[in-house]
Amino acid sequence: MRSVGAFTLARLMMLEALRRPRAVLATIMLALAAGFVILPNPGAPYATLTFHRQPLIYTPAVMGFITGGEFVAFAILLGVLAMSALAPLRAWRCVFGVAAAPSRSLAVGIWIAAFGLGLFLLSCIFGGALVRASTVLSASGDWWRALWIFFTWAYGLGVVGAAVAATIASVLTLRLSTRPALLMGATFILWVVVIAAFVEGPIDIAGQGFALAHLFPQENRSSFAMGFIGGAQNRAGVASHAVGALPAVSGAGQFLLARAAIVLAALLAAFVLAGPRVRPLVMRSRATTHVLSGSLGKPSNLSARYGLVGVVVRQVWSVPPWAVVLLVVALAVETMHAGDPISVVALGFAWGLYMMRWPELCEAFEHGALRSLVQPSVLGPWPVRFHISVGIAVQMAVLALPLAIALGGAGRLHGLLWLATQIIVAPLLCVGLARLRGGATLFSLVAMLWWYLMISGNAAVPMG
Amino acid sequence: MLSVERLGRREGRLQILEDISFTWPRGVLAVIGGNGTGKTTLLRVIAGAARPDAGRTLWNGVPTSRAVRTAGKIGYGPQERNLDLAITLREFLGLCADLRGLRERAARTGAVAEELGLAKQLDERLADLSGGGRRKAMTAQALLGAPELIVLDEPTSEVDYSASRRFWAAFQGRGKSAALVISTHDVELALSAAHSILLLQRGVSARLAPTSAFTIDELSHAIGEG
Repeated sequence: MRSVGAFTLARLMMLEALRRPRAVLATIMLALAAGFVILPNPGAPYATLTFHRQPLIYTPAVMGFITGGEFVAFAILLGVLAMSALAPLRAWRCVFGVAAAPSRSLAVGIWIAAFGLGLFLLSCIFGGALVRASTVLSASGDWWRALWIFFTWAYGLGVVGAAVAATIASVLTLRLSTRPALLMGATFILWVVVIAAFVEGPIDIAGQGFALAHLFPQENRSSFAMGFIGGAQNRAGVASHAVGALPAVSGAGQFLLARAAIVLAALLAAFVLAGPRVRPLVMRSRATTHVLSGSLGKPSNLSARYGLVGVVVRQVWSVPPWAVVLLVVALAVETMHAGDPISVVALGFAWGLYMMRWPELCEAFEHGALRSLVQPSVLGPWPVRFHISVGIAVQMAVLALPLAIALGGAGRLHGLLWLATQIIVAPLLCVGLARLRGGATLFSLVAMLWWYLMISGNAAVPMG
Repeated sequence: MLSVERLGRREGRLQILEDISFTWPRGVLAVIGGNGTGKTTLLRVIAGAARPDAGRTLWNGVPTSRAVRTAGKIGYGPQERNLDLAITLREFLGLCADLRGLRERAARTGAVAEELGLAKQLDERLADLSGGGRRKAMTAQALLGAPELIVLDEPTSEVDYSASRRFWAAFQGRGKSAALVISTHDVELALSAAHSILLLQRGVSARLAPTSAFTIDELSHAIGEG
């Protein structure tokens, strides 16, 4: 490993981010706001967070646990979003390609930068949460000691999220930096499937073993899955215990050592998974290489024959084959289980996969080569935006057809309105955000959050 | 010694390169051809940035895809100039030197900037450079250190005429101790500065010959035909 190169790269990526003041300010404000929102208001006259229908007893440790735990839950998405907004990945990829350096060196450099960024975001979120927590810290009598407790719990948990996010960001950045939407999609799939199913348990990212055992000693560990805050009202539980500062708690040494080991393991994983040397970036049309787009007719013929609609369809259906297979599976499940909750999950999955393509297409139109298609037109860009919006709406409606038929058959008017709203809002959001640089990334995030809500069952079809 | 042996490469359904063989020990080799004749593909394969479908490229008996991993062996300046970054040219060159494991990066950065006439632009941000400026940055990073094989893809397109002349003079100087493979559409400068020319034409076998074997009209006509 050429450590000097890795550190130089990390330093330059940080400098790159700092030289984009508007993006940095937006990131800080977003993270501060997230920190403020994550933490329930302890002074509210209503119970914002309960276990077993009892309000939580807020202590500095509990608040730190919530802050750190929620950061872990969203660290990967936040990290990738911040990296793609702050550092233009495609331009970096160009540098990586010509540097003729082994990917391992680059991966370590990106890992260090992403880890630093993760801790920075955690600090911003902590800052936002601090505003909420100040009354609790004051109530404890010793403000500074309470702050230390809050800090140790928040960072004790959050550091793992930053490390894992850095690993995923660095490995994926080297492989998918030219395709931001796919980068976001792959990150999300890794987060939902790999982390949740295989990694979180064994390495105890969320601190279920130590942290929860001390904070909620009578609580069942399985009650603390990802997103427990949103669904806490329905879970069995007890009032939390006040816990002292993390270093003073029995077993905390082992807990902290384990976290240091996880950070180290994450760095090593980035090193090992970096793959072969990064090739210089070569821009090319992927549409010509995919089987599906070929079966729709020769791409050039398609565009020539059907004009803009042909271009849009060709771009959308040039998705990788694995995405098409998953899409077909999701639609099949939706069809077979139309009307059941499973169909909503399948629909969310299908839309999530499908919507990953739209931001790239829209951004290509707003900022890239597709723009040259319409610039000579006296009509301006609006007809194209209209075409894209209608195209998204029509194709989303097709994906949702089995569910729409089932809802219509059952006379569920609210359910149909719920579907229609999504079909109308998604294209507007996509086309609107694509006008911003980085808008594709924002859309991907919104689409995936919506996807997650549907998959997790939090966005169930309304009754009636 | 660069050895290209029976090289073939397809892009989709198109056979871009077919049965290309030549050797190049040292000096400046200009690769000339019309659009779509495979210049960039050939250079990418030579630089170890793409794999051939047939044949192989060797640098002193070692595949170039392996030789490129050895610090300072191969310098590559691709056509891509997507350098929309806020880091300065000095930082960019320093990073590239670091990643290649080159020592004395400040001295090397200064030397290559002086060689190409970029000293005044060293503290400008890449994002603020013009198209020609970014192209110069790409060329500069390829020349860092003393690579034994330098592969440059149209280094003087978008570059003004006086800078182009300076670049080609620099290439000639490097050609005394290294092998340079440079694709270009600038026939006039190539004829005056290169030692040999590799002419690529669609449907015609590649032809490698000393510069004196070509005329400006012949090359212009060949480029025009593609």
